[in-house]
Amino acid sequence: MIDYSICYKRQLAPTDPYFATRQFDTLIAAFTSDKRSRALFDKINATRKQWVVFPEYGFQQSECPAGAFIGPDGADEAHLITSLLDTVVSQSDRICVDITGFLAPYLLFLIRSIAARGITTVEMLYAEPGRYLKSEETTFSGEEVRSVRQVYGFEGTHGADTTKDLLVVGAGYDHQLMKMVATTKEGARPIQIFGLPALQPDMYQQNILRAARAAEALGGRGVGEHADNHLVPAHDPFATATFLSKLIEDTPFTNLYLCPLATKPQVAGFGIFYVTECLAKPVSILYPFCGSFPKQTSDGIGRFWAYTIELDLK
Amino acid sequence: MSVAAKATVNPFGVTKCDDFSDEEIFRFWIEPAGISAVHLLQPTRLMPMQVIGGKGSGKTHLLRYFSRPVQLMRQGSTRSPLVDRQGFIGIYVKCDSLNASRFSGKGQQEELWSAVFQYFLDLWLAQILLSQLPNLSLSVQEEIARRASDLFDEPPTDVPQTLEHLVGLLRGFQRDIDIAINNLPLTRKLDVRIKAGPSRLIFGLPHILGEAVAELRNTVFLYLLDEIENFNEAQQKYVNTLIRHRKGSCSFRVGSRLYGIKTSNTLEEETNRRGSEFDVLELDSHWLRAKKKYVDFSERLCIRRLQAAGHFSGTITDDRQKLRNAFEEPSSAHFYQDYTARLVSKYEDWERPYFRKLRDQLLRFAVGSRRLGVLSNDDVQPIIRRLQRPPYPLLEKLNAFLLYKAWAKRANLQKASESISKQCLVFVQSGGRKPSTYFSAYQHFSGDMLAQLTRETSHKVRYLGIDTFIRMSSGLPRNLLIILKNAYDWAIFNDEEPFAGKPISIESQERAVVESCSWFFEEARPEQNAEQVQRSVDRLAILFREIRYSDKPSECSLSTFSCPSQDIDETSKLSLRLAEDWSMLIRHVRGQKDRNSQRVDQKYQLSPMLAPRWNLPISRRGALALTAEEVNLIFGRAAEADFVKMKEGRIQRMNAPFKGGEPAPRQASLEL
Amino acid sequence: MTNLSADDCKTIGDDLRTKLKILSGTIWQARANSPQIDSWLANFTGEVVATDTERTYALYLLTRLMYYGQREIRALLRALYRDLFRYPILSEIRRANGDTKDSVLLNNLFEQELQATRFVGLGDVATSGPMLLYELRLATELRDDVFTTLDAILAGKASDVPPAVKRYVFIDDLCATGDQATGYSRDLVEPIRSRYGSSVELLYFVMFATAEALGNLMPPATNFDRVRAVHVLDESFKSFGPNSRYFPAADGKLDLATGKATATRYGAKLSGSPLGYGNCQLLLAFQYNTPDNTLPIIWSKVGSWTPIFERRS
Repeated sequence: MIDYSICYKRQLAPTDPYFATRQFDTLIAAFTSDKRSRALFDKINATRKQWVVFPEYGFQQSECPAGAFIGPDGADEAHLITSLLDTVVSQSDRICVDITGFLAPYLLFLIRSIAARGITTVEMLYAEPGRYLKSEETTFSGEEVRSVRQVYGFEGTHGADTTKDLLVVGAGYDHQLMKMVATTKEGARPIQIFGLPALQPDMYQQNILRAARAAEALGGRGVGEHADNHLVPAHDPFATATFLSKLIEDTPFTNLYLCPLATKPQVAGFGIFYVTECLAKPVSILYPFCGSFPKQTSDGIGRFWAYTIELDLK
Repeated sequence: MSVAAKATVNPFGVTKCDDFSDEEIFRFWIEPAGISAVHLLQPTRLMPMQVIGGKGSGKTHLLRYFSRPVQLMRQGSTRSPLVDRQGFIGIYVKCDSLNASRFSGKGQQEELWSAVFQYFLDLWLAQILLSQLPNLSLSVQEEIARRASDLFDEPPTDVPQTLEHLVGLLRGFQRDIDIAINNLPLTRKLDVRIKAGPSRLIFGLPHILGEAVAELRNTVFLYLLDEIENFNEAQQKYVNTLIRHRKGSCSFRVGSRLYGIKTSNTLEEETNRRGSEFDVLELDSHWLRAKKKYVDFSERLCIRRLQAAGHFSGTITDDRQKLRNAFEEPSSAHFYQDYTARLVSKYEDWERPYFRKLRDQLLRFAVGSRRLGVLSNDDVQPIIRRLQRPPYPLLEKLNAFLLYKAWAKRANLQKASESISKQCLVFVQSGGRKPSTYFSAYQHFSGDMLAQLTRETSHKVRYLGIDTFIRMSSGLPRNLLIILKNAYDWAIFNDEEPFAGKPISIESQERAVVESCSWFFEEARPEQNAEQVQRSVDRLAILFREIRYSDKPSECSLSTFSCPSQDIDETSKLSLRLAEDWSMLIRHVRGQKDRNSQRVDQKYQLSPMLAPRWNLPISRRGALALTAEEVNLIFGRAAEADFVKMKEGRIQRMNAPFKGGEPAPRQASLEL
Repeated sequence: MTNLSADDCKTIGDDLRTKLKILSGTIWQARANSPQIDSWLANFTGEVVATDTERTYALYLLTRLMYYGQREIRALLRALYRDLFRYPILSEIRRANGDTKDSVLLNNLFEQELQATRFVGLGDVATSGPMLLYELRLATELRDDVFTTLDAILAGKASDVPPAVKRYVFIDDLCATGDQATGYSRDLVEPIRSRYGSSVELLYFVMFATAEALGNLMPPATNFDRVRAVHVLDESFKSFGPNSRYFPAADGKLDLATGKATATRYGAKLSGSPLGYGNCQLLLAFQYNTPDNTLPIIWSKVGSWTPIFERRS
């Protein structure tokens, strides 16, 4: 088991000395209508700062910041991120990524791509929401789920014996997405992760209320106390990665499918874990790909976090 | 630490029906319907077969039943002879486990993906086949492994000596492909060496096995490919090619959901035809034919769960009764006397709503009609009075209904109401048996009248009791489990101690049904055209509802419609198809099917899991005959206004004054 | 202040009751089922707005109540240990050792620091302090010898004082106004500080704290060297404050003014602080007790009031 909790993380005050002392070559940030996705862009010291606009948000050209990277038409997550990194990053860069506005598949592929380029350290920033627009009724994805598939670069080497398949779902608010993924892997034993501590103290039970609507699809284990329902901090990619590392050590499986549907730090945790421990194994990350996402889901800003991701832990 | 916590375990909490082994499912449910599994699937028959079935049709159970591991379990031991008298080896694979969606896009040519996929599928199936052969002597293994190596274009440098090595070798080749695909987004190049031609392994290995192993000489190697809807068109074409050009003693059983077969063509664009290259086994309406058995099966399922949870512990007969009694239901004694009395109790001193409505209608539309026998306002009261039978509101409703029928026929309402009154009296006195006309009307329409009465008195239309829930589940045990799970949860929340002696309250059951229907409606969301399909079903249901709650419904227990198959436009066809595929509609097969699966007429029932959303009946009796034009208005792209117009046209005939009724000379200022 | 229509009461009420059913069956561990909820709702008799409207607001507030059961409390205590205690020490060790990735080395060095630490519960047996310490022990599986009591420290028990120990960690559940913690600092912790000076580090860690209270406790206002919370409750958790996260709700149908008036009116019969001690206006409860900073309508037993999550004093 790998203990990712030795990695550095830091809660940043709005006027933290971090902003003055830390210097990066490149800052990448994803643009949304949430104030929090833009809060850190100006504070960070970086030689080059790059906005990226994901097509799923549906921004018009005029709404995008000047110089934003928009990506080729119809590009998948691999294509877009590869083009982005090719344009913006060279080998020896000190890279900083504000993951607040990132969509999961892009964030995941970014981690894979950075690792593949031999870069072992990347700083990730995250601005928590103050609260979601409609509490547990907030919509986080567009109507049409186009497909549930493996995220590119996270496709494992699976086997035909499916008797002990596992599906690990980072339970978010979007019960429709959870249902879709669970239905795709109906034969697998579902394991759910709920964020506790949550980003805000009332979000844990909002999560429970929402995830309860997907309970049927996840084998009827519901959202209450059950050996397969786990509590992992929502804001901490390292705790998430450590949890997953322990899980595969303790739980024999034939095929493992991962699906992070909760917070961005959780997604990052899944990505780090996969890239460090799962390549060439019967492990994949699945995701319900949507055509669109709402431009804004939250109000206000919670805490700021800086995580120093290390991709060469053994 | 705590205040007493009483969390209990819901016996229906796990809603996957894993309670019965494949064996038991056949014993209790599928087989008793008359045909054994072996007869259905005919595993030693070389003719390939498609097994088509929606959710809950038992398709996967059937295919898995013939897989090698289950075959062995049936024999009771893994050390039995290689192949029992059954004469086949079942190689089962769930197509989803290949994650076949990987094999496309990513900037590569489709032809390349095609070739890679074929090789991949061959390796996959070969591994399953080889890993399911039990102990063979080392020399036989060595021969098999050696000859298998020759199947490859380039023999491996390290020739395997045993089956285990051989499987390891194949697994290694498969891994190489997996890794290449996973690196593809980074490398932009698909670096795969295809080491064996398409189908070499799939047909070559059985051939080798048949020659090298005595007991396998006359064995059929049966590839069971389940859920083939997970393959895209090109991938399905490869399977079709395998079917068309199958060799030796290999055959295929391909399982698919209702509309999961995307093509009948092979890679060379030849068409496989039903009856020549393959047969089809349709399972979807199986449970419709085996209703009694399904009820029995469902009861066993519930009892088994309750016994496992410690709630029940008696004989099957006793427990069946306990199950029945576990849900509060209104007594149907004396025409639901108690229940209906409660419904109307708030009208103690006032006229009951259905009579008030009738009175208003008569005053407004019938007064002044000689033919109807209503010359003045004063003629209305006697009619109403004759229909009254205060202890039995349900019969009063039926009486009103019969009067509406008479009215629609332009009969004399004085005479009609006298006749109804007499018949009603005889009916009550005979304990609900005579006279036959009244009895027949009661048989057909009491359900609808009760529903109307419930709504008119501002109560919720109810779906209660285990029989109702079993019927609602429409052949899918999972639906039943979900209703019961919700009922249990609500009962616990309401502190009711379910299955421990006290019946689950009406309120808890109500909430459970609402939740379960919502869940089902959300689940039944097609991947494409979801809005269109849900709107169509909504329109259909609204039409049914307005008929059911009209003064004179044309059909009783209406939840079904029939329509011709010609002249339906493409959008409607697609909506119908998707609605059926997602179990929102259930198609009832009738008459002879012609070879290309076109029906002479089609009959669809609204799923009983959805019916409560619109307060519709879950049992079916009457069917509404719709024209093609009407179907197009409901299921096609017609504007709301056009649909409404059609609907009003139909409904008009069922509401006073029944279209063509003469309005009273003085236009009443009464507002209904 | 407006009354809700009968339809709205029904629709919103149904939806809220369904949510309560889920909460009751999960986090609340069936502690408050329908009959208990109905008894509690019966308290509201239409003194402010129509009865049904008041009860709908009550149901809404109940769905917003942040309830922490045993399982959740253990998870928070684990987070407290891991994030507030372990991580700062571990990262310091790591930095001091050239950012090494050798987890064996790091864990060994951390162990030494852990050995020199004692976890102490504040407050006497009747309060939550000792119980929390017990839960912390179960949640983290730490050995017995890193736990001690104030008495043992003040008695100078060699194993529990410097030089064996260089760090004391005081645990608490909620710090809403800081009053209680200030009292602890002055009465219980001060003797330690005066005896051992700066040879000991005094840390105060809580599961929940309001931003305001944390501010009140920062040194030099108290004897604690560091004060941290797992969850900081900002202004928006003040149920009827100007930035309340709870209103407006139900697409605007539930408004703050009506909610506040209702809670205040009934709260005034129950407590000198109608909206909770320190006017905190919180909606927070633990399985073992409900803090008095939470709205009294939730926990009070005064007179004939039936609480939903009663407070044990």
